[in-house]
Amino acid sequence: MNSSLDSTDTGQTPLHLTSGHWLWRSTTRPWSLLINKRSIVVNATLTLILLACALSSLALGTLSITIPDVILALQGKGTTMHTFVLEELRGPRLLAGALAGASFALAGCLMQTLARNRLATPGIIGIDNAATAFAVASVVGVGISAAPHTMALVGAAVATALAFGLAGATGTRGYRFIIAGLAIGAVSGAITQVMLSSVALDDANAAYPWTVGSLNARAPAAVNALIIGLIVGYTLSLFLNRALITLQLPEPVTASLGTRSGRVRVAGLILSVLLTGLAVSVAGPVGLIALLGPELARTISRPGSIPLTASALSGAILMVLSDLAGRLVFSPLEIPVGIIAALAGSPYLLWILLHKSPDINR
Amino acid sequence: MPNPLFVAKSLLISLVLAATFTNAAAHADTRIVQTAYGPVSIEGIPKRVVTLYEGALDAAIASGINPVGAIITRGGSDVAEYIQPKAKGVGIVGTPGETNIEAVIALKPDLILASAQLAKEQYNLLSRIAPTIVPNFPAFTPTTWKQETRLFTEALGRAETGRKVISGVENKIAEVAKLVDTKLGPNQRETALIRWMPQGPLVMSEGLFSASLLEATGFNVNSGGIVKEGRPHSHPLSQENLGLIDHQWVFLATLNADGDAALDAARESQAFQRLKANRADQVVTVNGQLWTSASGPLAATEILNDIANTIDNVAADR
Amino acid sequence: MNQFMTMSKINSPRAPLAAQSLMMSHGPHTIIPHLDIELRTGEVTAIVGPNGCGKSTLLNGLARIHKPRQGTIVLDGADIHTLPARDVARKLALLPQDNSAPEGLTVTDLIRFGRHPHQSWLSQWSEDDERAVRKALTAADVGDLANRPLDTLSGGQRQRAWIAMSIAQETQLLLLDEPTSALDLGHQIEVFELIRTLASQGNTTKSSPPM
Repeated sequence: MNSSLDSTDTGQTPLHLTSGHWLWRSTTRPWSLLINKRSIVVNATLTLILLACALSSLALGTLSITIPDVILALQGKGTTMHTFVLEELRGPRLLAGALAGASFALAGCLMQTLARNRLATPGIIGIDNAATAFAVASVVGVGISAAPHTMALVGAAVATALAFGLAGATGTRGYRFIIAGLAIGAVSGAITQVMLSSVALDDANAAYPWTVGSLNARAPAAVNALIIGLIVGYTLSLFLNRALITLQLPEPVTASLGTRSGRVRVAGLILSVLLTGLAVSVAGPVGLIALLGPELARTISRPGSIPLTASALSGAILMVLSDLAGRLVFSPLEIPVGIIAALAGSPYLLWILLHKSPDINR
Repeated sequence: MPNPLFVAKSLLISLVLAATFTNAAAHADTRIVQTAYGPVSIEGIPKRVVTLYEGALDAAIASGINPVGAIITRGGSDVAEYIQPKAKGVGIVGTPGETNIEAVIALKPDLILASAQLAKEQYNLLSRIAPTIVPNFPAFTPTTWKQETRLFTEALGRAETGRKVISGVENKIAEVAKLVDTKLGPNQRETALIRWMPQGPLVMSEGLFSASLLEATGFNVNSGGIVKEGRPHSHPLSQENLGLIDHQWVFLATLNADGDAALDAARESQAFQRLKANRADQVVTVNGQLWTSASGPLAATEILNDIANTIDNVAADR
Repeated sequence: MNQFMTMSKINSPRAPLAAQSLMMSHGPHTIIPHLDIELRTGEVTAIVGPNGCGKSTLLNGLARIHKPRQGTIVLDGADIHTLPARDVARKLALLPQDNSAPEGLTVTDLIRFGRHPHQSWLSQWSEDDERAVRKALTAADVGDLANRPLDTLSGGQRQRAWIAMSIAQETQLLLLDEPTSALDLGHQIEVFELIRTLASQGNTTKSSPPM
């Protein structure tokens, strides 16, 4: 708690400059921590919601398992059938979905902050599409024969490099980068369609999950890479957070406050692309999560903060819910999670375009 | 191959013993079949079979076993129309591209029959639910469906029925071939097999199941050299390239209403109307689910019926 | 009117900022062909000129936001482009002309941004930070508005809040780019008086622009 309210300088009524925060100051060292209460409440609530969604996702499906049975099985006391369904089918899928959702949304939040534009998400500027094109090329056997999830990562990097090149090296802010990305996304989408229409139906079917986004096609190696990538990416983005916060102010002020915005942008962009590539390699292009997750997080977070954690949690929740809906609606046939996310997200995207300023600060 | 007497005897034994002590019965009739993922042993006569491949559903029903689960046909929302009357009440467990493993588990299968394309990861999961049979024969040969039917019926404990069904189809082929011989001269048999999709016509491979039946009955299937080796069909053709398939006959399949609509639109075009087969009224529309997605003995019989009817009609016109 | 900007030097023992043979350009266009300038201790320097004469360009150059085509800018005896960004930010604050802040941000939130170069992961809110923010609130006379969101303030109040942010940065140099350009006459006077007050507190000397 703030213990040293010193108002002698001001000669005014004491002001709680840190109201809404928990303050800790070391008595022996020049260390202090300022933790926003609202952030804690928001993140704790989102974590609880995510846990509830996760539990529902484990319990519901073509085979319904009661919550007590789920808990029994998680403790290792379930029936063989329940254990098989939870350990082999729903557990890994839930994990992959939550991680991919968190990655997409974190990547989206980073990129929106860097570009100061809520439309500047990796999905909208074509990174998902490029990653998909590369993955599909691998599935249908065009070009280099690396695993699809590796190719997805390569595709994300290539798209970003191209967008960078086309927009000019300093173009990450504003519309040039977005327009270049849109073009790359459109070209990538077209290439994917050409590849799909020119190969055997069975190959095209095998590539289908890559084109819409599905948690059914995940490769264990890709999930492992995503776990590591998300831990590293999240940690680094937290370290970047102090600088990211100042990016919300006008460019000269950002610089005047000692932030090397060019470097921060490049670092944030690399993180964002890495997270997106890894997420696409697991779940395919579910890019709208990168738009919806941070938007939800921003709505409930404190003004002026960069809701990195809340975005990741929101993204995970949205992905788990979309996948659950996709599994339940037309059971036993599945609707790929990407289609559900697109159905839920498109009206929102439209609403942003029509009613909100693209500036994330407005 | 076990001899028929042995099969009949073990069948009888297993039925008798099943009522008393199941384990002994299982040991009495254990078959080992060779699959793409190695030998798989199957005990007794499977009662709850799930087929993840249209050819397997066909083979199972043809040999007298009604699967409890199957996948939908390409471009459809149920099993293929030709087999629906025989597959009443079958549970749907996925699409050709995606199996819902939970739905498979829910059906508690004791045998799973899959396609040669089943991925290793899927196999690893499915084989923990029930013995899973994945064929491993070269694709797009005239004998692929026979080899697969033999494998599936053997796994089902119906090897003998399977053999009979296959020879039945072979007899039927000979019958229709004779009919073709009597009605069509050797220079009147050139044909293309096309699937009309909303994005345009696909020329189907000469090795495709239905194409091999056309060949076997005396037609000369010519894909114009535009289908790549090992691929079931070409890229979609543009209208100006329809000339590549300007043969005396065109067997024309559509998968669903979208395909029908695209075909109806195309029929109005000059390019289509100029086709030799169109002018000779020898464009034969067939069901795409049957002709370009299905395989197996029942599908073969239906396709042969289609060919025979076509030839009959031709004869009536002349 | 208002074609001016103010550079205040606060608590400065000697000339801390100088430009030598400065040439600044935007792409192919040369904005400032050649300039030597020295900002001496205890003075307020006003730069006056018509629109587009390069006032903002000069300030951006002095604040190391844009690199000069030629020449050097010396801050406390060192070339400003060789100094770490954070060190510069502790000595020099720039307040540009048009400012916008995230929606919903309060005056205190904004002023706290000024403490950014003095903070780190392990020092997020020191007693110095607290004292500096309080001082800035008082100096800019926005104590009463401390918890008000910026978007609810008048133009003059908002500009005072931005100036308070720069004050909280506690730099020896304060570069203000047309601090009154967006304001009507009454509010302009508000801001001039704020600068005058800062000066009268012994921190600043200021010069007024021509009105």
